[in-house]
Amino acid sequence: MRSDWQDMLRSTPMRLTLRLVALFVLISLLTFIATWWLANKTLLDAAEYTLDLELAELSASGDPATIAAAVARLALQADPETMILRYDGPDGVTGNLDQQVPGSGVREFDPRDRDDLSDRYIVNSREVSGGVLTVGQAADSFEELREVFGKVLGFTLLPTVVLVFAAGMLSARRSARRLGAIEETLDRLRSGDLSARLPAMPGPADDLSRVGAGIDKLAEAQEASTEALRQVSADIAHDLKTPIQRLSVQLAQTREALPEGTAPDALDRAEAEIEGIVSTFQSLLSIAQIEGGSPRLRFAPVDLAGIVRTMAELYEPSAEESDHRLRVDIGREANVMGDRALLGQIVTNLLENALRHTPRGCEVVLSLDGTRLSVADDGPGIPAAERGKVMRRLYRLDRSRSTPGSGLGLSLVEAIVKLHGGELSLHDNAPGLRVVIDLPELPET
Amino acid sequence: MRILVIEDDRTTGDYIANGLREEGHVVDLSRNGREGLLTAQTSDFDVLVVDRMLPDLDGLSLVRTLRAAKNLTPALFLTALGGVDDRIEGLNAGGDDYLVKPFAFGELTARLTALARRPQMRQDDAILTAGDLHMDLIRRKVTRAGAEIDLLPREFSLLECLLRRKGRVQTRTMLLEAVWELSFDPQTNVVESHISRLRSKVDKPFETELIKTVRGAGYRIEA
Repeated sequence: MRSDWQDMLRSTPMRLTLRLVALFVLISLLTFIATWWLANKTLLDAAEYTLDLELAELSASGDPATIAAAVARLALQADPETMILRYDGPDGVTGNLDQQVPGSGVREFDPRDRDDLSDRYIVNSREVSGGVLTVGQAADSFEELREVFGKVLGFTLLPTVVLVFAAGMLSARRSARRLGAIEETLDRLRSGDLSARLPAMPGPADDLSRVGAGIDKLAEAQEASTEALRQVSADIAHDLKTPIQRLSVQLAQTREALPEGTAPDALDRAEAEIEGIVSTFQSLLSIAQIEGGSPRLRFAPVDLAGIVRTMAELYEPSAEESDHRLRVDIGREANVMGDRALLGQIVTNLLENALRHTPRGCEVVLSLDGTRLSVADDGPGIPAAERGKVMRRLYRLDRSRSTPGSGLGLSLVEAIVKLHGGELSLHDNAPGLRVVIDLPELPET
Repeated sequence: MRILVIEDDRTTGDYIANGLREEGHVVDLSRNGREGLLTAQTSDFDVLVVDRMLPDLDGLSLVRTLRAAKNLTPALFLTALGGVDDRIEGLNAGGDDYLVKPFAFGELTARLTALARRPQMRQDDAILTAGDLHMDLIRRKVTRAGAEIDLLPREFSLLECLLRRKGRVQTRTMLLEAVWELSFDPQTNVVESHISRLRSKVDKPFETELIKTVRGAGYRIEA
């Protein structure tokens, strides 16, 4: 469930939604701040203007006694919660405020812990003939402004964000489902099931359904070309194998017509040639089918160590007969997802190569550690420059032309390794050749 | 045995039919799929030899049709194809065995014999014998003329395989399938080497040779 959430957060529509929400919030806040600042300034200007008028009116006489009297008169009428007055004149303090207002000019004043006063005032002071006259008005309108802005923010921005977010989630889930279907189809295609197609997508056509249609078309083309390859292979097989079959029948009949033991060498050689042709043909056909990917449909968990043991045991007597030492070294055991017969074919081909292309007395080591399989010998090896070429189909080293084989063994091994998602590499065993195959491990369940 | 051969190539078809007749079998030969299917459905055969690629009705569909009609006569596919998928396709379609062209005639007859007798094979024998050789399957012991022979597990399986099919030829590929469960044919003579080791233990110290080589086909222990 957690990874579902993470997947959704990482999905394209969700990321777009989150970006849009962030952008929207940013723009809203900027607008909000600008408006607030403008409204605040307008209110402040108005307050300043009013205070200027009051100050001018009160100090019009220029005489301290008259000013003090005017202040005292106004202070009597005014409610200190809306208006404060104070005149620090040469004859003492007059007004309804008994504390000093710090600072000068237009400013905010915040009287502390006073029940009879408001929380905040806008005040202005002016020096008038021998004293300082201070007038202030309560900043209630600013508080109201702040409240209004808070409400605007709460009623517009928050629901919008929530709505956009929810819409984003819905569209993310919808596209996640469709992407899931696309991914599943791709998986099936990759595993060799070329008949896999996307399920019909509900709703109007959009970019995703275009991608889906593209995948379907690609799969269709792939299936058609695989089928064409199959058909061509089958036709070639039939047209070539029929005469080969007849030839082999004729050779067999020739042999039967001769008295036992009098068959000429040429007959044996001809039969061996036919075997060689058939073997090359079969290998090419197998490589084509493996590269087509169809054996993936038969993949199942395979125990590599079991295969290695069987093959080592199978080849041990032949190795001894050709005067080779065959050593088996099995470390950690692991399973791979694959085709048992094809994986067995890998070991067979590598062992046969090693036994065939190394002189008597050489040692061949077949080792397995986890899913790393290697066959190493201490024979003549392959020069570094030739190592890339030996993977080519039908390529043979000059010195191997006299030994039997089609030059397809390693190509077949490479095709099988690729089919299993593994890697094949050739190394210098100093002396000799070491072929290493790394296959993807099947996690324990 | 009564054998139906369905093969469109005249040379190959005649060769198979004549060869099998020489060995004393009764052979019907069909040149195309439809005729072959009709013959297979109307008469009883011990085994069918079916070419995979036939004009009008291919071999796979033919055997599939037979199996759908509950006809379980063992069928061996002959095929020009020999890729990794083809064998499995053949077995999935209801074929019992598979032989890639060109084949040695000995291989064909050995496989046909194995197929036709398959249902009668007894698996529950505890002791297998051939001449003075005894194999105890429960105690996993082999004795010849009273002397115990020490065999490796795989040599034991190989000998067991030959003994169970006593009197019938076992080809190299049949032994590879039965003993090592390998469905492909290695280039090296691996089976020969194993047989030669087995012989050195089972035959060499004694006067008569039990494991016989059948030229061009395989090995056999006489009944």
